[in-house]
Amino acid sequence: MSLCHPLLGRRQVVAGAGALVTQAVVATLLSRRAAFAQAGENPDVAVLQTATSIDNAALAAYDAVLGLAFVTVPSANPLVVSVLRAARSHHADHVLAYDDVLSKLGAPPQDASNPAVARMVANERGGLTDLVRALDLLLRVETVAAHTAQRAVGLLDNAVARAVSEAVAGTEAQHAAVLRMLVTLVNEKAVALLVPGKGPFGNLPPAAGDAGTPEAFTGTDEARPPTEGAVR
Amino acid sequence: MKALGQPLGRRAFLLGAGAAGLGVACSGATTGDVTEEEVTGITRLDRLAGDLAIAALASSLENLAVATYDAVRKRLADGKLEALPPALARYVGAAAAHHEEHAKAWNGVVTGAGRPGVTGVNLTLKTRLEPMIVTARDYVGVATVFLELESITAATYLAGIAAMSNNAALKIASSVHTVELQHVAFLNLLLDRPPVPDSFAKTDGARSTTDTVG
Repeated sequence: MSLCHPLLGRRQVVAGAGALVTQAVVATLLSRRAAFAQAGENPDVAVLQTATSIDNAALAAYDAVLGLAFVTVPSANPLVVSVLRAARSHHADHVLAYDDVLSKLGAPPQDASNPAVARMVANERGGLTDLVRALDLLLRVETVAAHTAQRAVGLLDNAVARAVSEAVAGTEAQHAAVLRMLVTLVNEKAVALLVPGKGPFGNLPPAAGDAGTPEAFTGTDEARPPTEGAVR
Repeated sequence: MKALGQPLGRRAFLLGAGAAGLGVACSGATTGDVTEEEVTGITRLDRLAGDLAIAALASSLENLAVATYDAVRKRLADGKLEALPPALARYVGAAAAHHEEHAKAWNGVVTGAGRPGVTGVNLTLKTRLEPMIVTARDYVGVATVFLELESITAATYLAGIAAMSNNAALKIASSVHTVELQHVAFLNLLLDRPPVPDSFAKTDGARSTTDTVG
């Protein structure tokens, strides 16, 4: 069946060369939409509220890390701190953007944190004894955020919601890439090379070159279930 | 709140700068000469409709990316460029391989729809990048070319996603868009710029289906 088969609608599977959607995912999508149809709800609302819940959890995760002694101390690497603060502010903007779309859909905002991500942060918080552990936790949060936003793009009907979701997915993916690079630099004892204003940084270790992007295509394996963060 | 710019509408993306007519998603209706395309591969993006046009545009950009990284490698081999620092050299190997995979994926979409593949590069963007490549003498110049290429390609994907309606193509676009942005993050870091400068990915500089391919 080619991409241009007359029976193909947006949510139907395209078989053949280049197709990435499996039958199992399609079945899940169709059953989820059927469930929502029965409830009379707009499926986009739950997806957007779930995305918001993850950004709320990400805010809490960054607040936790930015409050750690080895991050607040004056000797902390200023570029690393700056990157973390910027990421936190991005997540705050994502929440506002999702709130705005939800409002236009006539739906309430999601003020709570995603329970699974919040649990992950709570479980790890006491063990954040060094920068690598802290960055690793944030990387796991960003990976969940990126994968969930990316998967949402294929689930959302509303064009504005879809555009917001992809714009967010792109930034979360960048956060993840930078965190992977920073972990590599810390492990290579090279993070001190990053002195803001003293670049460009041609002396980074080789591993930093491909640490940020280990794959040709980003997946959605760590995506949370699309209705997990729906307002009940 | 940092504003999220209005998404580039489907019509604006597909029309680009002044082309006529709005393609219907996967209508299969084209005015192209199939025989000519079978010889040269797709060169007229504006003769394709909807998601197929976007897939072909993406192919042309990925082909250009592969060609750009190859061009830099050739200039290095010819001694026209000073050696790249190890991290950037490692990045070039990884990014070039990623773009080869992206090009294969998009050409799979195009040929899967029964059309010849896109074998050419995006000439419109190449015209902008080529002088930058030729005048680059050190790794900063080279990294700046790559940053331009990756940023524009990523912007094009984001604009394309706003215009697409086919789910399989959307999934490819989404999974590639994020990788190009990750390339941007590394290059920004290397160049001592904020690695993730924006709260939201942008469509600034996105290419359109009025671009030429060859």
